[in-house]
Amino acid sequence: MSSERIVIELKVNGRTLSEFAEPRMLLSDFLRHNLGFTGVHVGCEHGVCGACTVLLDDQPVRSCLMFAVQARHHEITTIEGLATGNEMHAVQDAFRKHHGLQCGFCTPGMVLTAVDLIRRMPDQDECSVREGMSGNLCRCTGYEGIVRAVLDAANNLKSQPQ
Amino acid sequence: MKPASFKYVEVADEDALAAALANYGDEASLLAGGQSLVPMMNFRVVSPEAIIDLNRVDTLSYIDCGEDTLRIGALARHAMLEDSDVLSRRCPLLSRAVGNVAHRAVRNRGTTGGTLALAYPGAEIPLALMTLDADVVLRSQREERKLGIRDFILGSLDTALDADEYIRHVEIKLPPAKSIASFVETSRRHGDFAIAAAAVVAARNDDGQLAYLRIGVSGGTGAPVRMAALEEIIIGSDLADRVIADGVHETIDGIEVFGDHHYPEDFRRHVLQGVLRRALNEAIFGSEHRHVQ
Amino acid sequence: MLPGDRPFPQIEGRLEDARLLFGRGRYIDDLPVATGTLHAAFARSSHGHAKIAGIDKSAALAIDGVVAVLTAADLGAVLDPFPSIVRSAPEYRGIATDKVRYVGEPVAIVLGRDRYVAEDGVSALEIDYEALPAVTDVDAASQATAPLLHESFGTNIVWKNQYRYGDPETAFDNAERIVGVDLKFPKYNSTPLETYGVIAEYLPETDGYVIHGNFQGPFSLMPVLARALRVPDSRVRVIVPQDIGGSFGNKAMVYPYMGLIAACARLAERPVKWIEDRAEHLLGSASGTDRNSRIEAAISNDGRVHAIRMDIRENVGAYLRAPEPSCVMRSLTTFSGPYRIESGAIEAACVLTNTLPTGLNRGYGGQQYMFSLERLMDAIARETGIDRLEVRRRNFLKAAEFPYLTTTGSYYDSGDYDNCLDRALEHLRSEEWEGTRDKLRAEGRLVGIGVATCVHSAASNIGYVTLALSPEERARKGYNAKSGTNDFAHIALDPSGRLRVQIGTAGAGQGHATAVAQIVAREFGLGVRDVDVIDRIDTETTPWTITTGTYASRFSVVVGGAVQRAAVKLAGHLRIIASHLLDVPDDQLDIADGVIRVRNSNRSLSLRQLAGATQWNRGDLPDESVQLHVSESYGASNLRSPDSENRVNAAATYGFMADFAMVEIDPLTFVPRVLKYIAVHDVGVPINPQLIRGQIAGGIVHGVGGALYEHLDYDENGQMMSASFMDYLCPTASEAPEMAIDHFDTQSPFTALGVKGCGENSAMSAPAAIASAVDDALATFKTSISELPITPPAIWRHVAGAQ
Repeated sequence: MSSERIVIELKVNGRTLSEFAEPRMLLSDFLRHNLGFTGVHVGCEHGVCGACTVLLDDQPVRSCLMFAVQARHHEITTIEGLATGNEMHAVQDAFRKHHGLQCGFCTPGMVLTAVDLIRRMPDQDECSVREGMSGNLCRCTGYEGIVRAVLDAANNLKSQPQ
Repeated sequence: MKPASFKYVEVADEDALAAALANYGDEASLLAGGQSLVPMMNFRVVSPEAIIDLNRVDTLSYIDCGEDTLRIGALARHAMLEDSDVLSRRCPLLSRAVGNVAHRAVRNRGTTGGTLALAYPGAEIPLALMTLDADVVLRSQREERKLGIRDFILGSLDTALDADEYIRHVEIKLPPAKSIASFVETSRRHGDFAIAAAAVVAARNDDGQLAYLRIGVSGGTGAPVRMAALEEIIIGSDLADRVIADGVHETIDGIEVFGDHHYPEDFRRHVLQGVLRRALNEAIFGSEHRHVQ
Repeated sequence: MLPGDRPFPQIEGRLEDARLLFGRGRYIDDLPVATGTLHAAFARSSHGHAKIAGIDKSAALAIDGVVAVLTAADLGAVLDPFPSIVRSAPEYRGIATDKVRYVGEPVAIVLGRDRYVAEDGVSALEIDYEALPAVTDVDAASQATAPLLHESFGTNIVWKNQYRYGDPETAFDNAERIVGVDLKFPKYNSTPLETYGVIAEYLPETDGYVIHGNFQGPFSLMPVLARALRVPDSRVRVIVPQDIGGSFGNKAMVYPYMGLIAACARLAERPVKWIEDRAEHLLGSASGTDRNSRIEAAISNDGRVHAIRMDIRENVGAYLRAPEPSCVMRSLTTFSGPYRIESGAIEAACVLTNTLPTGLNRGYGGQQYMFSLERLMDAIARETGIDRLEVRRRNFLKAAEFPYLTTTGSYYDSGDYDNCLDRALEHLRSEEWEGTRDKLRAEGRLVGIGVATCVHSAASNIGYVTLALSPEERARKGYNAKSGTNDFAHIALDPSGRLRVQIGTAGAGQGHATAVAQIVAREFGLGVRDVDVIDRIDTETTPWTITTGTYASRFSVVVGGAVQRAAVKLAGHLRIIASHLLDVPDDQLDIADGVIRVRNSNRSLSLRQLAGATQWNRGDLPDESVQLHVSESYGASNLRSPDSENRVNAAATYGFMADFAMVEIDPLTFVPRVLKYIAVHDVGVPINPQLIRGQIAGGIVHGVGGALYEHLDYDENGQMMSASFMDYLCPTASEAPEMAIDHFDTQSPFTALGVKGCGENSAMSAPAAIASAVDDALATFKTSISELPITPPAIWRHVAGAQ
């Protein structure tokens, strides 16, 4: 009943990687299990919780709603590709500083969503942050630390020279 | 929740797309944004034999705004509409509608063609298109045809799309340049499907008279409903609050509304009236009565 | 200054953050598995109640990659029912035998080479059901004519008991007034973002099991698991991954799946892995109980409550499984809440219905009961015309009365409820809540303010569970009493002079490692990052007790206490060793800034030097029994087993919360929103204010979810109407209110650090505070909320009904 496996070559976090998988394999599973990017977390597989969010050509997408085969011809960034060596991205650092994470399960998706939100709309206030992050569920933090982190990161990034 | 197996067919242009559809017919599902199809496949609510991935058919991905006609390609992502300056100036109803669609990550993949083909009852873009009386251009290997949106969306999750057809683009006759658009939706949480939604576009002529009015509602109505009768009542009136309120009440009472386990029919009717009155106020008088929502 | 008087050192963020932010957490699905591991997928019932007429495995087994299909009949060869606390309760196997009793109940397990193929197997199974009438409402299920879930049991009322404290009859006979309310509290689930996961292996050479599971405890469930697996407790090795993506009580109930998957591994003779998906989680994991209740107060006209009478009908789902019926007992041991209520009569029944079986869910009976008590207090205010806050104050225990023994035997250690409420009021005033409300109302908007004042018990006494039995049953020969709560900590100075602490908490993001590092760092005058903390449970190597686990807000009290004791003991050992190295009496030595100094001298030893000297040259030093590593346990004080009057101190410590909620309701769409929330808590002594704030913020949103959005909603046929995250509505950042979180702490005289727990917090009080606010918002309609969730159609019915 299963289909032939095909070669799927993807660029992930700047590296070109290739593995075999069936067409039906979800991008989330392919990244996690075939390529080892366990920082991509799976919370629902119906596109609601946002834990599986990765950047596809710099745009956030739910990796549980794509087949791995579709991600050929695209560049993917997972949470593992955000920092530079041991130096956190400004958004990661803001999450750390403002206690924007507890169990860490929603965190990769939250951080990547915030990176895109700030890049597209550098001017943020509490209302726009809540709205912009409302596609990512968190059950631990009550969103308090997350909202403060994203606001702080937005302010810091705005004041940095481009 | 993992999907069942399927044959994966990737097409790079419209001819290949039409050929693949002719070949597979109703054994295949078209994969565009996947934001509705893939969850259904993950739940195994649908398990198509074949998936035709048309994401590389670039000729279907565009926004083309002419003098008085707007064309949106079927593969235009919601995010493209959301970010489009020209759309926010020339067709603000669509701009406002698309901002209500789920969340940005979903809008980065979801497409106009995809949401139209699904015709989900709470969906925002079909409501906006119905309100604007859009035309839908369909193509197959057999022919190309154009349907008015009222003939395309037949009911909840039900369209006139044939098994071998795909949506090419939608065509919208642009509203007058000075029109005001309002899109009011009520939902339990930010980004959810609407419990009830109303779309209104209004424009006054140079004498300040209301000359152009388009009204649509959805949410428990099956297909989105163009409220043509209400348009007539209001355009011919003195725009008194009483007239509008009575007109809304009477016309909402006259349309078919379906209740379900979560939201009973009479509740839905009541709320439809509420969002419609808000949208009318905003578009006709320019005032904003929206509270926290 | 003694170490214990110093403030806890703080850091920005937590020790845990780096790995989680880099995406290097190690959750159960991230663990490498042995080659040959099979993947499991469950076939689950689509019926609420039905006979299983037949299961045809053939098409499934024919699929390439499907290795086995196991049903209860197969598993019965190696797996017994899971024992219940109530011995006579119908058997619970975790998988259906001849009947299915709830939608989502496991019916068969397919083992395949990967999860995709295993699910193909599930799709190919042919299962014949003969539908039976279902019952999902707890009162309907109690009727003699209701469909029976377990025919041989003869009734759906699986347990009942009654409790009497003080003299309620006289109080009610003499009451100047009796005020009562009928209430419905809904069924919901904290839905941690990470679902259950189990990887199990059977070891034939020892007839034992190794089970990896994201299990949070309580480890009192370990014997339950071992008994079901038919092996001695010591032959079940449970390994909890370092990282768990949220638990909130829900991950206590992964234990039946640990049993099922372990049994599969034994039969398949290969390791088996199962990762629950979200659809399964909503249908088949666990939830809190829903509760229908009537609560009455015997009061004086001035609002003082003399006695409570309560009738609880608790829906435990299709099976009564351990640790139920503890959800009921936790409430009743603090039925007086923060009030001086000296008598009470409680009748409680647990009822079986065709719904998901229940278990721990953040609050565990707390939110159900606090909803009842606080709705009652608001009702008393309404009926007497006394202000809602004033009526509470007239009943509050006063600061001078602590420690206070309640009529149920709960020994409240400390508190100052008036001042805590005053602090909350300061926030209300400084943020101009009343002015905001009045201004919005003048604009035609429906806005209300609500209140809840509640006692937060923490670190529960395992003895309270035995209130499920009657005193006569407990007095019988051969009965083994239960009491206490305990845990271990191990601390060592490694050869390089670095402190390493080992604890076993099965934490899920609460920041246990950071808090523990702070406790130890304080004792030795170090920085928090100078202490390494290993927080992992492997029952083979981590010391654990039957009460181990993260639940009942116990960490800071019990594990914190064990860590403190261990740190103090190690410090003592280091002083003894240093006394030999420095040739001074050990009571002349102080440890500060990571250095051991001779008092009034500049002679000192660094921890590194001491470690080096001890590790390399221990033989030359006396006192061979004094080592560089120490294990200590901590058992909370004052925790005995229940007496013959059903009195028991149910928890080690009792905090308090004063909460205010501001809610707005859209007058045209009836959509409610919590705009603002104030929570002022008594946590005893805060170890890490940032962590506490995070816990409370999360608790508030869980409470908001239960009040307005989240509902495991079954129709009368037992179909679950919120079976995906599309319909089961978890609050997002947009629904979370602005929060003001503050403290008014009164140190506990009984706990090692003076701490009280705070993990469950406003998850328990927010539903009551929000209902109170909705009453205020809808005041003109003269209606009162008695049922949750408060949805737009529910609000519309209140409003339409009033017109």
